[in-house]
Amino acid sequence: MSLWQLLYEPDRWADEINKLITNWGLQLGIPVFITQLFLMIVVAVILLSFILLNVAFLTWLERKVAGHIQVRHGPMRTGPHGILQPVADGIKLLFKESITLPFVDNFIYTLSPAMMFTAAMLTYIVLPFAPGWVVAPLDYGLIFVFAAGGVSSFFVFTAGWSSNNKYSLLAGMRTIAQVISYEIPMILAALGVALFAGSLNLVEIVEAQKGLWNIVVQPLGFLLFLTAALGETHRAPFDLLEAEQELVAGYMTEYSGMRFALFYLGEYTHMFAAAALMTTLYLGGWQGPYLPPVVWFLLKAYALVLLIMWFRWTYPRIRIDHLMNFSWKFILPLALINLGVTALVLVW
Amino acid sequence: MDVLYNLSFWLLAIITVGSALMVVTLKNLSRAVIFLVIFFLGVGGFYFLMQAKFLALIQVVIYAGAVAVIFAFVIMLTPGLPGTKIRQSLNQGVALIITGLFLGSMSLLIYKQLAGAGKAAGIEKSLSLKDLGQVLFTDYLLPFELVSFVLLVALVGAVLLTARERGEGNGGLE
Amino acid sequence: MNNFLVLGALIFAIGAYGVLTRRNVVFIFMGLEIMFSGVGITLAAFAQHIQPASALGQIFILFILTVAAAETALGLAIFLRLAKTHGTVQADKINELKG
Repeated sequence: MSLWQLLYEPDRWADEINKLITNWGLQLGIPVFITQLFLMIVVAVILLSFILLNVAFLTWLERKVAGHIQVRHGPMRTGPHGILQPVADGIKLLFKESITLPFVDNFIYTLSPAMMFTAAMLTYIVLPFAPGWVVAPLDYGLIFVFAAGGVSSFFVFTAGWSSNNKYSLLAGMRTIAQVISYEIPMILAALGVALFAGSLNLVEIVEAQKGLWNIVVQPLGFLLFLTAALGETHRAPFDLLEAEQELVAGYMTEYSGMRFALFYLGEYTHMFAAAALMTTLYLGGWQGPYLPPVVWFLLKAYALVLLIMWFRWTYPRIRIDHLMNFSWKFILPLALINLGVTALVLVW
Repeated sequence: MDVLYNLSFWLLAIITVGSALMVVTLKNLSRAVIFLVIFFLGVGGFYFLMQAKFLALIQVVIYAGAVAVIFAFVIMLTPGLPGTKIRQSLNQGVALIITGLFLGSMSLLIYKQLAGAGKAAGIEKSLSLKDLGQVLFTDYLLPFELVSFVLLVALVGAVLLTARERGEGNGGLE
Repeated sequence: MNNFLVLGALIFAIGAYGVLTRRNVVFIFMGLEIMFSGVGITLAAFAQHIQPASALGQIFILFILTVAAAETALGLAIFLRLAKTHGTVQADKINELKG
């Protein structure tokens, strides 16, 4: 297996390893489904480590980007250019005291960050990182992403609710109102892409963009999806609910230590998942001229992540009622028009 | 593959029936809603096992993502009213007898009368979305339009019923 | 298939138990949702085993799902209004039609 094949044709390579291990298992007398279970566990571990490393890197990137936009250096002391800052943050959060509050429903209080993080991580199993490197090429991958996002938003609400704190409750209610308001235009914009590709399978959507990326064919859809994704992952400029100057810390107020770390990581996971989904749907996934496919995918996803971070430190925040008005009265009709025009163009 | 199918069936059955039991017996409303979400996810899993993949995902999106949120909102908007903290279950004995009778007769019917009705097919090819869409928009177009009308009525009705009167003051979310 | 049908009946029975014994109206609605899901499982089991080539079963369940969601939303809105005017959430105390 040459280096070229390793980098540029990863699907054949993954297939060969799969067959090798299955045959080896059959020779030893192990039934097929146990070797497949073992392979699934290995793939899951690889995916989890990728997500966690990425998210840790993103927290450092956010602070550096924020610093440089505000004409200062970000973290510079821990390691060269502060690259070990996430490690320092992780150690600090691990050692922080998890304060057990009175009058808090402990079961839901503990369950919410875990479920939110899990549901945010679920979206990664349908994303195609390279040809053949999809953990689960589901036939309805696009809807699966939105289903997982919807489940994670419910646990944001229960986090605010179980905290026995008026401000957390208010922030939780507003957060979930915002998330479900922006989920609908997101699904409609993504449906325009699905109409073009003729399938809801993310792998087929990427392969249908072989000649022309979808951002050229559906520019309005891309802008709508970007805005709606910003609203759904409650990033700026839609982050009134967790900004430092408003409502204390929103639904995360009463959380400290590792539980807070889970929420924080969950938000970055969600953001990177939205960026990766946008590259899959609109920017052609892993396609590109000279570099290996995985590198292209990561480049595009990180370009979008940098764009999202740039938005955070450039625009002022939008008030909650303006935000809801914006979603229902502006973004949703535009998404419907986009879908209608796409369908008309395809029929003709 | 059959082992995996049976294993997932029994696991999902335990999770789903367990969450349903929790929903109907817990006194604490918020925990009941969490178990309701787990129940909906379990039912979605069952639809997946029965090769109705699109339906499974739609079930998760609509029920676990939206209907559960409606329940949580309503529970949260009625906290201080009397009746939220007292004993929640009445007539437990009678209800148990009625539902037990129903369950017993259904099981008897299913295992005796329908013993040979269904094929022993476990895993079949599932319908693609294209087939579903084709049937939905040609044969069942009228019910589709009627259902969209029902949704419109529900939307307008819900907004109308819970809208604030003019000049009632600042309540609710904003 | 028999396993699925018994499961559907069991879930329906649990939902019915919830509707019959609970006092809080929101719990009654939750029991209703459980009953709907039980019916859906039974329908899907029949659709898969009796006539897997026809899409009628899945479409039926789709319509039931949609109508159930709409009905739950509207029913809970009515309940909110009732709770405000009657001042209580117990189903047996809301026994006057006026107001």
